[in-house]
Amino acid sequence: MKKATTLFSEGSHHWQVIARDPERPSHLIDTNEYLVSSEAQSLLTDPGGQEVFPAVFSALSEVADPRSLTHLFASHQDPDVISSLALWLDVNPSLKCYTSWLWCSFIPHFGGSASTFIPVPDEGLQFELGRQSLTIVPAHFLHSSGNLHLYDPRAKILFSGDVGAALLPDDQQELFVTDFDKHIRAARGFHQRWMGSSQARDAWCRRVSELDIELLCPQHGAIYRGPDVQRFINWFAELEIGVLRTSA
Amino acid sequence: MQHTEIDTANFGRVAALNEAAKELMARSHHVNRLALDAMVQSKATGANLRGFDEVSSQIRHWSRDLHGELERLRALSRELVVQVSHASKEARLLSLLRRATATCSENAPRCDFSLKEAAQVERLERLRKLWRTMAVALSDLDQLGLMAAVLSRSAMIEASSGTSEQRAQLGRVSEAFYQNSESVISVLKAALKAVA
Repeated sequence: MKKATTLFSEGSHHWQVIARDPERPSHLIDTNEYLVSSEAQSLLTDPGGQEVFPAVFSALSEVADPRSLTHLFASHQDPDVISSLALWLDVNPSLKCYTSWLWCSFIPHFGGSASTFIPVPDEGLQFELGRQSLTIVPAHFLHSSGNLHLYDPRAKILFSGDVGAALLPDDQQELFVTDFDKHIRAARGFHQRWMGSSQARDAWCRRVSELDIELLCPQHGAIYRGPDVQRFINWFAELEIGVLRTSA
Repeated sequence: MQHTEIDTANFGRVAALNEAAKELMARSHHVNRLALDAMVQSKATGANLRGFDEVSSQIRHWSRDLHGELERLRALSRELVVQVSHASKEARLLSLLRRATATCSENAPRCDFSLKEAAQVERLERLRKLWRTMAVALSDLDQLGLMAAVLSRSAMIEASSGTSEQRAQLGRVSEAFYQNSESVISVLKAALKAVA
């Protein structure tokens, strides 16, 4: 079963990561879901595919009442990000989902109605979750054409979707990056293939370098913390991306 | 056409049970600490309150039993989530297949999804069985709740047999036992109601 781990806790404001399912079938990519809560509201980032829904629901239940979930955040439209939407709506039919305006008529193929979605404009937006202000940061073309990240200035956490993701081998399942050089080898191929636009990458690096980030939290792989955050941004800024490799 | 729909309130019921299990787990830890404290206090007073020590020791056993039952309940709850999710997905799929078939012209080849429907009926039956197992597990827990009430009353009686200082100290602990056992009973009643 997946496990929930607290990343930040101050008063009624919390970040918890739901990660690492030892029972996950190997044909499914591993995902990290982040539960952000403030006062009576809570939001789940990239709630995952429908196949991992039971594991996410059970892990989330350990730290919160799933019925109290008020919002979802879909960084983009991929099935591993949001195909569980219909099941979450079974839990709470009045859930609202923040996502790029670009995907508001595509994601309903996974479930939901027009009233489920809060379309986010290209420039992002700021909104209140409980008593906490959160910022949706544009990350278009990284990798999806309508791609968003979520920043919490109080917790200093950036949820970065597929940016920073790493496909970790089975013997390297730590929650936080502990050896950057070793870890980044598992991130290289992913970023070279999935991230196609240097222009978008440069804009993102500039934008997030201006943010005060303590934890950079991707949807796959380990979390970057402290100096590893800027180390990652520098690495990504230099990486040759949009590379199609022939299978070796 | 067989009944293959699933009541989405299933998720709400599982969530309610999980919340009850968390509350009971916290009570179980608290009671265990109280029982330990009581034994230490009883020793510290140098009293010969063997009866009180015995009851405290039984309360610790009770706390361990409750913990074990709650682990069983959590495992059942996880299994319920898996089954409800699966049944919910299949119900949606079947509903779409039926809609697709209904919109086909008369001459179009009919798809036969009777096997899928039968599997869903079986799945829903399994789910009902699982809920019944859950109800039995909760009844067992309910017995433990009643046992807690009895034990806490015994602790109060035993505590009242010491000196005034002992009565004051142990009385407070016994009262806390009693309040916790009452809470356990009320949480269990709410959980049983959620499952019913």
